[in-house]
Amino acid sequence: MIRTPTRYHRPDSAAGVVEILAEHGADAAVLGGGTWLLPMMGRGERAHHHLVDLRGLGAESISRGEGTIELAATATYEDVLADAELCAAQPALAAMAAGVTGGRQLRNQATLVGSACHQTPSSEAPAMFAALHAEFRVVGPAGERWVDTDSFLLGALHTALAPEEFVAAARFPDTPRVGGYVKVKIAAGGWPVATAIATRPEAGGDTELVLGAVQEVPLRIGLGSALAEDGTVRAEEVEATVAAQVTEPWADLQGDAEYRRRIAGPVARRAVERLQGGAA
Amino acid sequence: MKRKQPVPSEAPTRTVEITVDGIRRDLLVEDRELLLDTLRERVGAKAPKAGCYAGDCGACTVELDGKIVKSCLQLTAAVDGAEVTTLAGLVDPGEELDPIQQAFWDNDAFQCGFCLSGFVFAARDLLARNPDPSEEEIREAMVGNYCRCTGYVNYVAGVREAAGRISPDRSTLGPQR
Amino acid sequence: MAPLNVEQAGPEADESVDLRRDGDVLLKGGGVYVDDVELPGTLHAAILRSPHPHAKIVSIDVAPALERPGVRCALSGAEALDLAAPLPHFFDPSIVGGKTAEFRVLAVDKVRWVGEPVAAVVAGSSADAEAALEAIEVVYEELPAAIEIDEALAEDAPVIFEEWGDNVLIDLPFAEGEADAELEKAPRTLTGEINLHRFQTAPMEPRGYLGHWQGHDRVTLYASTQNPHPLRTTLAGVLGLPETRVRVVAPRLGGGFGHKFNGYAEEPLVCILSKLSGAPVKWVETRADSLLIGAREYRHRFTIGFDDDGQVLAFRDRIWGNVGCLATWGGWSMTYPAGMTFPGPYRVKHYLVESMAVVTNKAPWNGARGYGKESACVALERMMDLIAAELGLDPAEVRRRNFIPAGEFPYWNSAKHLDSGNYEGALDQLLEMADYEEARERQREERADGKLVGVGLAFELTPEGGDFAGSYVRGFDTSTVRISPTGTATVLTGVTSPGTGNETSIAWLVARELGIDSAGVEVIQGDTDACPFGFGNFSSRSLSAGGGAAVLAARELRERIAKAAAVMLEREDPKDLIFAGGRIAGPDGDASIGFAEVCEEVFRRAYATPGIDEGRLEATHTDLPHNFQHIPDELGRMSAYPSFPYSAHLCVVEIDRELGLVDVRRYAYVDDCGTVISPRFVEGQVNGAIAMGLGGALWEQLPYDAAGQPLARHLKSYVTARAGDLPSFEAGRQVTPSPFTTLGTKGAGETGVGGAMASVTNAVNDALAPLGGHIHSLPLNGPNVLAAIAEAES
Repeated sequence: MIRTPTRYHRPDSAAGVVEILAEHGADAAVLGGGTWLLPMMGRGERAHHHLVDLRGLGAESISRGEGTIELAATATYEDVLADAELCAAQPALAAMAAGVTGGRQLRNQATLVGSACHQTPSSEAPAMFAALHAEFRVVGPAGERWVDTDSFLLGALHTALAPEEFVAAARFPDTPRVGGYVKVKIAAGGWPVATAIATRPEAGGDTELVLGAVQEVPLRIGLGSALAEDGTVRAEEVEATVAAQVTEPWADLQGDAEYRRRIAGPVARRAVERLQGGAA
Repeated sequence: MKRKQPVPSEAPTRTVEITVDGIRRDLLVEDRELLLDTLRERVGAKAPKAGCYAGDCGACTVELDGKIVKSCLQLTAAVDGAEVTTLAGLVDPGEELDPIQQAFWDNDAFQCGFCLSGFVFAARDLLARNPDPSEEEIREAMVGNYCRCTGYVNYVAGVREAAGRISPDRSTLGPQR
Repeated sequence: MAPLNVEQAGPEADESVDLRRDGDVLLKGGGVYVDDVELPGTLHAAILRSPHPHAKIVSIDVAPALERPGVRCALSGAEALDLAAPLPHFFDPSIVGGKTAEFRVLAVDKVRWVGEPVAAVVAGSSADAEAALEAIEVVYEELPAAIEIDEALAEDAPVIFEEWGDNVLIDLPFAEGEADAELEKAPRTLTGEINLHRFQTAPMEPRGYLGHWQGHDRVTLYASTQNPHPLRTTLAGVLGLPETRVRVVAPRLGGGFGHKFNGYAEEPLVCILSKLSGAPVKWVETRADSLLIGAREYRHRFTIGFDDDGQVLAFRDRIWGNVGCLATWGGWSMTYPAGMTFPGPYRVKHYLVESMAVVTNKAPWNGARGYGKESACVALERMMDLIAAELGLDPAEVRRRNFIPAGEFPYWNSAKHLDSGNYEGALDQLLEMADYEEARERQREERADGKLVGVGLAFELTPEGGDFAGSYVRGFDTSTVRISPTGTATVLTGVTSPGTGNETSIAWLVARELGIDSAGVEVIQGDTDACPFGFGNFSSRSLSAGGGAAVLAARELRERIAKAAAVMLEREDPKDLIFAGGRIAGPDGDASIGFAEVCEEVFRRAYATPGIDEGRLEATHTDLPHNFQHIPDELGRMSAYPSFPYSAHLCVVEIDRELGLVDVRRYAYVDDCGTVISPRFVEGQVNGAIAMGLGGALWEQLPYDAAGQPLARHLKSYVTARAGDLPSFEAGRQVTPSPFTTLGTKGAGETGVGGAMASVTNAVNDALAPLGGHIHSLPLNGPNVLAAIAEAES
């Protein structure tokens, strides 16, 4: 149970959210799914006297704009899985959503944007947003701005959000990307020790590779000479390419730094193989 | 040491209306209160259990507006107007057990029973989407729940048998054992 | 210890047993566990715990907590000195020659582990009680801490209990023959070291208590405890009350596994808090609190001497257990079976095992399923595989050559009088059932493809029913059977159930003795006001002892009822009457009479009708396995464990070479726990034990950092086996009854933990063998296995 005598707010407008955040600063926290925040408050690891629920904004979970797909902050993993078109266009995203730790219950409750805002290195959503070239709509007293993933995710538990700001949505180009997604956990109940997302536009183009849970923030791998002319990847070169770029592997109770360093390459290679239909 | 009159609590409260197992309840709850605790302490619905307060063990699983959720991860204040079903509300009092419940019993799927809420709801959820699940699919559907007594073996058998009883025409393996 | 001359009571081959009692109640969410118990006006306690592994308490001021919302009272250790006597030990080490210390309900001068209770607060809600803890002002003076075994045994180690002079709680030798001399002479020797890590049983239901101090001197404690009667006795002493004024009720338990042995400070603490605040007080541990408790952390350094045929001639094993700090919980005592279990199922006449309990500033151990026997199993089974690898022999064959032969039971070795067994038969049955030949063939093919596939065997001997005279850990128990005028029976028993189903089996057994439907038999457990004094559940003895006692009581009543029935049927001899189907009939099948009818007659006509001479249908019996040797025999032999179930395990793993992850592809076992009353319940026990052993060996761990802080505070960091991690287990059974128990049972509940840990350790090592690698430090998780692979390849 939560020991802080917190007040629950459910404003019906973005301005209403901002007003509360501006008034209380770090003493207020935004409630997405609550799957991170509430247990931490229960353990006394975080204390906020104001919780602001974004569900009052009534945003549509998934909407489509001009060449973009927008996930509301309140969009859950099940919302993603229920959108067949989205899953077909972004199979790596679908794979990630289907396998998120915690079972169907978690998928019904937890939000992707919430995961990105919490920014635990061992989460999956942050790296997926990076792979999707997502931007976050940050709303604050000074208005709205779009922040791309690389500028948003700054470090462990650290994003570009100021205390009086919140993320209302994330959007990414509505370009179908074939994908290979690999996730490594030490056991089914643990959190990722490494994830790898290999994607390429369905219509053609260069393959991109993003690693999650390996370093503090998602790591975009420069494929360099491993990229072939036609945009595919020479799988046999992936490991060496990745090894050179994993310079600050993360360490936690799921796996130490040395382990992450060692497995990053093979995990990345498997994602590529899954994408390109080789052995995985 | 003690004091006669405690300092009054200043935790913000509100009234919410929640329907639990078919009965509408008007409740005064604290804003910080978790749905799990509201159900157990205020409504007296003890079927969901508190095993971890962190969404890891699944013993607190209930159905909320038709979806299974971990009630320890849910603020009651956020679900005013919701419909909640607990294990106690799956069948009416005096009625027979439903096929999943009966199959669990017939297969000795549970021992101490503390985790049961999570497993019954996970099984219901699975079979509603997939009437003929493979063993792998059954195990996958249970990963949000944690059991310490059974090693999961008989839970899997129970779900297989339930599948066979619910959809005898579609189930490929039918009842086990 | 002669075998029993008593009709053993197991089911016939064609008899079926009942579904788990109250399954329908549980399935509808109606099970009542301690946190479901509601008393009007209940307040909630929170406990302030030490943030330091070792420190003096310089000062503590709880008064500020009283100014927080909802708080009714607050208590420090110093204040509690007048309110509670020192806590008795669950099993005092001094009983067996170890060192001891005194503990109070809250720490007074010193704290010795992160998490040790320092103060308590009571408020109207748990939330308010938790929130008030931060107002308590404690000044600590930190002291150097010893966290690991080597730190605690170093020359300049901080001494955790100053009066001890060192950190050795006890050092227990188990020896036979002349180990050193025989090792000198042995044609071949091997040395090795195995490190088992700290992990725990993590029951689903956290521990909790609801204390209700009523009136002047009466207390009721609802407790998630495995041992309500000893807890009552303890409470009476600590609280200074006559034991008649103390009642302990153990509601349904959500898993025990030793985690809920009594001896915890919170047990009397909630009672005292209830007295102070004038209301019932409830406290339930958080998962973080629960994860503090430890077990199973051992280091083995062994030397084995053997010949070219793989016969073990002698061995030595020096064992250290990091038992954490000493507490009044009995967990340190697991270091006893950790040594005593050697040499397991093997016929070795020369060995020296020394098992040392080392105290450190980690949180204390409490009981954990396996109780040290799993540690011995891992060591022995590694030894067997190492011998096999050295000689190029099949590991199964090495075991066969060393087993105690089936014809030699009962069999004495150090500290154990083994009851009965057919070890070779169980292993052979397993190998056939699991198609061992085919598994090895398949392994050869997959190895040729470069896969790291391992096949691991293990044989686990699991001593059960332990009796430690001088403590409240005893091998006997008591049941009363009481029959009503309407022919229904109530069993009141001193054994309890952690959720295993023994109440179902006890009801079935009694119904069977009386020839009535088990629906007409109630079993009452866990209430000290109703049940005869008993010791609860531990060491897999509930059915053996409590069930045995119930059967003996039922038999006495059957005799009495038969006498009355003979009178009513006008028959000479009550002894040949048959009790079946709710009726009592002559053997010739003619006249019969209803069981209930006879019971009614007893009460209506006793002392008035000739031949119906007793107006009482209640009998109480005590039962125990007749295989203890508490006093050394003429050869100086003793045995504190009477029953020896065992199991054979086969585990097939595949290791992901690049990630080090171990996939358990197949798991098969044959279990022999003597007579089986409910095959399903027994199988369920073994399944759960295997899952616990696999999870522990592969993924679970309770690490501490160098500063003595426990790091696994929730179930995302204490990673147990989920359904997706395990295969279904292939189960086989062998039945070698105990000649020494009324039911012929040996106890089911722990076998499987050690077998699983050992077989998966052997399988992983087998998988690494082609690389020349090995791994002898658990857990066998991805990082550790990958490191072993990397080392082998370098």
